[in-house]
Amino acid sequence: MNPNHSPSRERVERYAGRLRRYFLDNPLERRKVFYTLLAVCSATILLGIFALTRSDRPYSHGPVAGVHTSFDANCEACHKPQSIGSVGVSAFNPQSRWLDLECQTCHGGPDHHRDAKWPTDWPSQEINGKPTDAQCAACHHDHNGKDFSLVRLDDAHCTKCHADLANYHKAGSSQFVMKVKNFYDPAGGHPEFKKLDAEKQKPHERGLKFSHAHHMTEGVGYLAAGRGKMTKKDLVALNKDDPTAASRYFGKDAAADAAVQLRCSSCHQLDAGRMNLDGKSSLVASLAGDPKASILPPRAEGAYYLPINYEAHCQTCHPLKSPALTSDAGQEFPAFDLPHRKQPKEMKEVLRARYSGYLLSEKGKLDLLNKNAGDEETLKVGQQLEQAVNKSLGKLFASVNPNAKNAISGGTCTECHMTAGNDPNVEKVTVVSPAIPTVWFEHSKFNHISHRSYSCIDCHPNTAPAPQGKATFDAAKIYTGDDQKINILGVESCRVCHTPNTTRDVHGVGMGGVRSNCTDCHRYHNGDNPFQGRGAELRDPPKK
Amino acid sequence: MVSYPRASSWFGVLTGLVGAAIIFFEIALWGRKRRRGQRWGPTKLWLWWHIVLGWAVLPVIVVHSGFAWGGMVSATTMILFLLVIASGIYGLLLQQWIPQRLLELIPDETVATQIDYAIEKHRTEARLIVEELVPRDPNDPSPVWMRAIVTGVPALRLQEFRENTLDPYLNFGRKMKSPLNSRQESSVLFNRLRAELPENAHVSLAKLERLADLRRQWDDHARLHAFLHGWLLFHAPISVAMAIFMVFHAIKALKYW
Repeated sequence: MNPNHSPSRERVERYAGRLRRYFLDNPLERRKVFYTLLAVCSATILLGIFALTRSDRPYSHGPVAGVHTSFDANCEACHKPQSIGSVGVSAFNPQSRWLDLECQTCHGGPDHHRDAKWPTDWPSQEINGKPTDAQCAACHHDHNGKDFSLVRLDDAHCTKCHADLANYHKAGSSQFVMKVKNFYDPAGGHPEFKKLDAEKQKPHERGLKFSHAHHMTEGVGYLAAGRGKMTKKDLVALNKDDPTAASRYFGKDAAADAAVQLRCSSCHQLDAGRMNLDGKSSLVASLAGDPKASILPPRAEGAYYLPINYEAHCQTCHPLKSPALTSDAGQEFPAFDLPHRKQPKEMKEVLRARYSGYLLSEKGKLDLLNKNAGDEETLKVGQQLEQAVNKSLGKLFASVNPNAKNAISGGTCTECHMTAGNDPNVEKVTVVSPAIPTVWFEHSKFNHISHRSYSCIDCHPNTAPAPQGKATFDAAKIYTGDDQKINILGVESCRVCHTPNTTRDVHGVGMGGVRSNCTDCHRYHNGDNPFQGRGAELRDPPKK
Repeated sequence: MVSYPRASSWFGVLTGLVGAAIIFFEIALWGRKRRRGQRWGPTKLWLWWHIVLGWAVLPVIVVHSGFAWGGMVSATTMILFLLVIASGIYGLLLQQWIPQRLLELIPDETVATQIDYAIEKHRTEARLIVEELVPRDPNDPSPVWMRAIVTGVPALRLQEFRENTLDPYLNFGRKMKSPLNSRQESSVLFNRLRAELPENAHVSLAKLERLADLRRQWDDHARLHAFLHGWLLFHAPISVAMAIFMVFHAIKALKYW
């Protein structure tokens, strides 16, 4: 007998291969078997119910993002199903199979960076039917809940390559800074905005003479010399045919001699609103009778400002008219409305047509047909006409003294536009098309409406009006220097708020704590075209 | 946001496969126990690996999960897995404490599953002891009755004690109300009988008292045994249910790798 065992052990039955006594005759064992069968049945029934519902949701490893809710119960909407046979082939590359998604069925658009060398631990994927190193799920992780953003990515996704881009880009092909670790830390490597950096090398050519400070000053006038303030009375006089023109800038009770005071919003309108379609501008006239709301695109979220447009934003104060003049022979030619966006050669044809029409009209008092005029007299009239056209054209495109009263009321082209060429023959001069981008920093996104708690001048220097009573602009310099610079503060101004650290603004107010992730500003897949949104051709799925 | 290895990464799949293999091995312990006669290595060694790998599989599966619950099937699998691990740890703790305590409290412990079998023998033994002491049927031709040690009222009392007190107690133990449930009351009862019986019957009476004491010890033994192994009523069925869910989870995951 084993000395460690009690003597009572000798009283038990010897094992003789009768397992039944050890198991099924044992109440504990019987219950164990019963509960196990119960568990097996419960699990089988539950999984059977899942199978009968024909829904994949129970097998999903997490709810998909809200934007993909309609696919939550259908794995094959995104994942390519694998057969038993294919398991063996790619068993050693499971993640690649898992990430072999069908994103391109709905999502088009180019790769992130076509000539990037992707990290070797990021498997490849076919995009648009072509093998590529890029893979959607390397950055966009679904199945993380309804509220999980697929586009607000952790910086690590970007800095994996961008912290040392030389290793992940074909040599010499990158136009980007090689080492960026974060945005908020000046030592993190994020560069100054590219446009601002480029301007230090070569100032941006706007092709337009414009001073924000001048236009924001009360009356938009030069107190030191020449032209006085623009008043309500002046606006009414300039827009005799459009009684609504002055109402854009004045209340109903404004006095006739009240000076015009422009605000930023007088011209800059968010894309959430409508460009000014009231009044009788040529733009409005061109849409007369058409359902404007149907023709114009639906409004956006107010991230950007609508482009400045002559008809909507300039014409009220700067109506384009030919100068009133008298020919050497005494023939009077009154001022006519002129079309915008015409080169000198085209404008000459317009002037010739307008003057001809005038001479042939009752008002022109030159009824050639009734006078039965001979060839010689007709030739003289023709000479007067050409003389008037050339004189008018010369005034329109000649260098203009901005102090001259006619600079506003006469509406000369070169008051605002730069010209190319300095030929005495005005017809050979070319008006430079303005090059003012609607979005200056195209490689990032910015939402103006999200920053509406700040005033415009907080971020846009040199746009404030001159102090009261000190609007003494130097006419010779007013359209040069700071006015021609890109009036946007640099990256440091963003870092005041967009940093995890606590900072102080110029007033000593505590700032910081605003998110500063890469994807808060940058977008990819054709992100260099800010207005190429989803649905644009470049982002459409490939045609099958 | 911290990025963990996902279940679909090569590392995630590897941990899933390793975890599944360990889980199947863990469940195989049940089969090993039911095949005691087979030469598959000592069950004690199997149990040691069951415990070691049971600890190891916890981090393996948690890493495989990518620190996320996933969908309904994977979450159910994970919850069942955690319950299995928790019940296993509970059982392991009991195994560290109760066996030693059992040896201390029950010096006459036996094979718990055979208590009923042994008790039947004890009942027979008690009946034979009493029959040897008291006179039998006078018509019995056997000369044995002539050797009756206890006669008269004590004999009737002894016979009545065996039939109405001792035998039911040996049969049902603590399940019935009996003065023998208490060691003290039992001692009083047997001392009273001892005083009535002749001295040469005291050895047999001590044997009866010993049988009652064994019944008391084995009742305690059965209670401790149920405590020691009762957690398996939860651990084993949950393990099997978890394995079923795990297989379904793996099939679906493999299909959409």
